[in-house]
Amino acid sequence: MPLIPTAEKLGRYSVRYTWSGDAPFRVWVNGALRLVQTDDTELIVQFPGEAMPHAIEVLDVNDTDPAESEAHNPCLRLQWRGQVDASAYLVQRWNGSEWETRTPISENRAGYYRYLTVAEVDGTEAQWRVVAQDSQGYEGQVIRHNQTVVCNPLPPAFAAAYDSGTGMLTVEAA
Amino acid sequence: MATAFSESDALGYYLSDPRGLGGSRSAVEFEALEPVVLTAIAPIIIERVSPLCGEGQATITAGPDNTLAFAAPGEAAGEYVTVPANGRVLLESETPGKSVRVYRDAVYAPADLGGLMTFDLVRGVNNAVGLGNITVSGVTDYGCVWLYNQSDADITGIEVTPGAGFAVAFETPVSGLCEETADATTAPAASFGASASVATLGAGESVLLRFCRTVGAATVNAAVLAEIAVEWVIAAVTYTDTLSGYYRIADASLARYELFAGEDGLPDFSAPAVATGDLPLSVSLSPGHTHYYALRERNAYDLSSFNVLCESKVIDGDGEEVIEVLSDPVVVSMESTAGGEVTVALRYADLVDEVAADTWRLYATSDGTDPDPNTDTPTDSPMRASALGRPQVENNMRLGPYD
Repeated sequence: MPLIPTAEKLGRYSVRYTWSGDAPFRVWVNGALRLVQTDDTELIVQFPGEAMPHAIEVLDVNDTDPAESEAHNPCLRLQWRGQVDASAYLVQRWNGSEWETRTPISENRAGYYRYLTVAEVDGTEAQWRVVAQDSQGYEGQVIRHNQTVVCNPLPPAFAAAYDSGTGMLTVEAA
Repeated sequence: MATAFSESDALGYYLSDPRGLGGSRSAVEFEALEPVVLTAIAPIIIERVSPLCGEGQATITAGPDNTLAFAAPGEAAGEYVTVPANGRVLLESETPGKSVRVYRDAVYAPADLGGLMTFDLVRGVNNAVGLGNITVSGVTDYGCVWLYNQSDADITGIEVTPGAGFAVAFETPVSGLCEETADATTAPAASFGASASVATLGAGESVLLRFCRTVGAATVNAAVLAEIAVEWVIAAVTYTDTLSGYYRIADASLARYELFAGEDGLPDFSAPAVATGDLPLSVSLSPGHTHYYALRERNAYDLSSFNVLCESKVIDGDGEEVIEVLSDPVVVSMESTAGGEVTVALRYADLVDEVAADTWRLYATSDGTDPDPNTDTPTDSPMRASALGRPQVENNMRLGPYD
């Protein structure tokens, strides 16, 4: 089972996460492996912006299961075989009304190409495709792949209000 | 030297067209293990990885004179094999049967092979064997994979033994076609059993392996591995493959928000949440304590959002919320300027406060007395937030003119 770190604010832009267990530890921050085989029991992380929470997962030496951050990764990995007639590949995501090009990748005779998508929201169905394009801008045929994303939900955004009359704290969607 | 389509890849596994519903044999091979290429040898295309290899990182190393050697996960490489231009070969690892079939695409440079190809072998989710996701109430699904003898010799003794929850059956095609079902929950006419066999599959012949997955009331699980073992013989050598894939079991009642709270300390996330369900959620805060709280979300596959920073509220002995007093701004300078005006340069240490200020509030008098915030009217001006969400920490405010 993953360890559950405690969090302590250091000012408004840094957080110290601390944990205990049997070293060495592996620590993931927002789905990416941050610390590999460390004996440290704390990690200080800076916010890129105000009120943006980090998702922290810590495994100790006793954890034999793969990390949930990797086993249920929110990103999709696209891989395709290159073709020499192409000059570039357009990685596109369906935004609900049209195919939106995220990035063009040049054909550089590498043979295989990989692209890691942005994190998708748990339980959603995402549609991505890769379109080969020649030097004249003509696009080739595409193979479309649909995959239902199941991953750890994002930390939910919420607003909290305290009612001194009832003594109740109420948490609701932001 | 192992020859393509004659040894461990003699029996090919192919998808059906339409996918998973019978019909005809597709030209697309079922990948029991999918290669995720990390570094490539440009002209080399991985066509098929034998299921025996198992998950992990594998390598193909280029040797002298356009040769390649394959190492399955966790073991040493097998013999180097010459790969001709536009040629297709089977590379065997240290253990016979652990193999990869590759094609050398001559349109790709370099003309001579070189370098190291590394790739992760992973099992697919919701593939032809994993089938679709289900709920804890259970369901029966049907799937299929074509077995194709792509060698020049007979394959004999095909024995199929499925894992728990599966039953199997073979269907012999007529003119290349098998029964095509309407969807994955429609039962074909095949008679399913705990195992199935084919005595001989001649060169170039195909047979459809159907399977039926029955999952009764089950425990929620985000990754269940489905496996079907296939044993077969060619040229007196026995091979055993495992066709596999993952599926998921969901429980809609688990999908909920979970509110954790701690009194004068951070919440214990290993203890039950203080409130669960749909939002809004409420919890009583006792007077005279500092309360920390965090909200998590759990989905139907029992996966929770990870630990995040807790928020806090201070409740005094009367049950009123204590609002933190902002830290003072620092007056950097106050200078007279032309026309009798005064410029006040201010700095605010925003990182000190738990909740940052958002307004400059300036009290000023010109009669020689100190300003009194209780009686004087301030001049307010908003702090413009930066792109990173931080407030404006420096400001120059102009007052006057004064006589």
